[in-house]
Amino acid sequence: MVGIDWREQQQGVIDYIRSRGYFVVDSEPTREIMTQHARVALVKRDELGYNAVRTPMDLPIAKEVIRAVENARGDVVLLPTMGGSVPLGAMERAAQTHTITMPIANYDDNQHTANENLRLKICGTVWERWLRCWRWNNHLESPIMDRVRCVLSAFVLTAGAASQIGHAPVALQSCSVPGVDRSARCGAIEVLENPDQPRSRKLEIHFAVISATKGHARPDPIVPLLGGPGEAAIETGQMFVERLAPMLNDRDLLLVDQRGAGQSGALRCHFFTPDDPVESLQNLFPPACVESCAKGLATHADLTQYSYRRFADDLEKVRRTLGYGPLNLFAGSYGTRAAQVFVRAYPSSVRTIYLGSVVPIDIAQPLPFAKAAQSTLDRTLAACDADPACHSAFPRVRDEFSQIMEGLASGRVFVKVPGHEGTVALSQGRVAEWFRSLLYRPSSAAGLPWLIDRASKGDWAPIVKGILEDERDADSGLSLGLLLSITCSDDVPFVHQEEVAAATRNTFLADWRLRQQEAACKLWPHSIAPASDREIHTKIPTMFVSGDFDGGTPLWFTRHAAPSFQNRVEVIMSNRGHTEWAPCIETLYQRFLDQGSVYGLDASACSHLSRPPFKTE
Amino acid sequence: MMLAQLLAGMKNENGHVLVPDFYDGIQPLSTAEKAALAQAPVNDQMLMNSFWLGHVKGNGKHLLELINEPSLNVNGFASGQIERTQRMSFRQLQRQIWTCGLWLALTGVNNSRV
Repeated sequence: MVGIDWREQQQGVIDYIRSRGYFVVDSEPTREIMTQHARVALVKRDELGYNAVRTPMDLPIAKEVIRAVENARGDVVLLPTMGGSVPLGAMERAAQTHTITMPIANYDDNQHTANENLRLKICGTVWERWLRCWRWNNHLESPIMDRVRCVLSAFVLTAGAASQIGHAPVALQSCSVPGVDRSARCGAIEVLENPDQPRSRKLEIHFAVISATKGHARPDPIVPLLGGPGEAAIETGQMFVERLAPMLNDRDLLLVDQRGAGQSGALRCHFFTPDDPVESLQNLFPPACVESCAKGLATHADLTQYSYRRFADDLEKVRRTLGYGPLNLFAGSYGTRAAQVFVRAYPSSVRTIYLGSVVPIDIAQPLPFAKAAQSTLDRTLAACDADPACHSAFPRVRDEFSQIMEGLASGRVFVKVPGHEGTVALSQGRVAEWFRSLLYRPSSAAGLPWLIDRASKGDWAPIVKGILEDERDADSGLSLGLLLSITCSDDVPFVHQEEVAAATRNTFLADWRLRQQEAACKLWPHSIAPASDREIHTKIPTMFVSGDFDGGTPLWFTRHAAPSFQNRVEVIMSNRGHTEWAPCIETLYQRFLDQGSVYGLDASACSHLSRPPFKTE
Repeated sequence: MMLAQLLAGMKNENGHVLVPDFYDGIQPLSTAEKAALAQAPVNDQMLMNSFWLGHVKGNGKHLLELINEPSLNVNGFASGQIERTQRMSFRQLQRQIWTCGLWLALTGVNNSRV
């Protein structure tokens, strides 16, 4: 009912249950809870509620609609809009206008039952005739209400003349997105760094809109959500323009730099020193650099405020400012976390979700890294054995791998580093972590047998070069401070120490990466995200795309996350890894976007892809 | 049985919701809306005939009035024994998850979707 807040209404019922002597919980009660309370009630709130709306019947536009329908078919039954579950509230917010419905239901309201008596052909006819009636205000010959057994529950004419609900418009300026030759418009909104403190520092959230090619954009743009954490959307725009080209004919691409990344107050840290790269061969997060970066950033940023939850609020503000309807979230890797948090916070602002290489919201990283990498290494080496060219080039690759790992572990591997006199000890953990990063995709893992072979023969130069290059790229491409702000509050505190031994035993990475990150988080100001934020349940259509050779986000991540998404398709790409793309995905995604549902999408469409060849020389 | 009692306590015999403050804050209908409702055809008797109903709740108010009041519906009710015996048993009900159609708070007759 208009005037009632749905959350308060839910709370009222929960309070009532409490008043009847129940101990109320929101998740499966533990044994302690069950034994300590006489009455326990498990109450799960449906988070997809919304408030009712009502369009005043005496609006000029409402009177016009009434006149048009009366002209078409005589007397009309007028009823106050009831709410509600069409859902009109969501439509009003999306279109920023009022709604008037013309229901064509059976007299018995059969559209509320399992059998809606829906006859598509008649629905189509009625649709068309109503449209004609609306457009030309013509007389209609056909009887509609009395004969037609069509139960298209309601269609909604958004009455554009009605009052605007949205935020103040923002000034957009034409701009260019790196590598994109299409025109773009850029702008920024101002938000509070800490919205709980009105006098908090202000942040600018920058965004770029690449308009639909055909000029007339649908109200639902595609919004890439980047990984890292710490990647920036605007500077990566080119990749999305290329991948999503066919989908951008009639949809805008909305690139929003997450707070703390790109143009939105990037939290940059420099862990790589070109003049003295030795530290980068020892540590992923060199403690001295982490500490000094935290100190430097803390002079102008509250590092505890750069969470996905805050970003969700920012993104929703951008959406409303630009007057967009529900978004098509296009998320990859850690960006899938951002998507999940946004969906939790603003379910009615999302039309579809694409989750590429999902990171489950309730699996604390980087604990699973060691096993995921080990299993992908085993399968990569098995693929090398099975590949005649690879096998004949590196018949002893497994022994060589053990040999180099033992050498590194003994601390006896000394290498020359460009710009550094003498030799430097190479850390086993750092090399293992770099190998792990290669295992994210078969295309990069294809060089692994060759690298192992070279190192076993004493040539460590390719590995040293690779580590330093990647470190330099991460330094310039990622906001490493954002990476720490997010993972130190959302992940590392949730790693259970008693699980570490089992999760890292018999793996080449062991607990090195975890301990590095834990040490960095000790030096990084962070809050601990509420545990309740680590759940999600949604009916929004979701397309999962995962690779079956992904050393970063293994397939069990998808299997674990998927059940929380009731309307989903799980597409698995064969012989592909992390956040990859292929023509078969393009076709599926286009259809998914067009229809706004997973109906009829073939989850096996990408199971024919073959492995890229191994590097043998 | 506990769940049944708990849920049953939420409404009286006439379908009036007993949860405190449940009806508070409703925005009243405007004059035009009240006039439209007064003019709308009342087909309650026809619906009762077609659904074989000898009695409906609402203390004599007709459907169009009731539909403009909030309601609280129990959408379903299940217990651990149903699948096995096809019979109702309420032994395990104190831990049953239940949902109400209250995010809608709309109707007296139907379920949650339009």
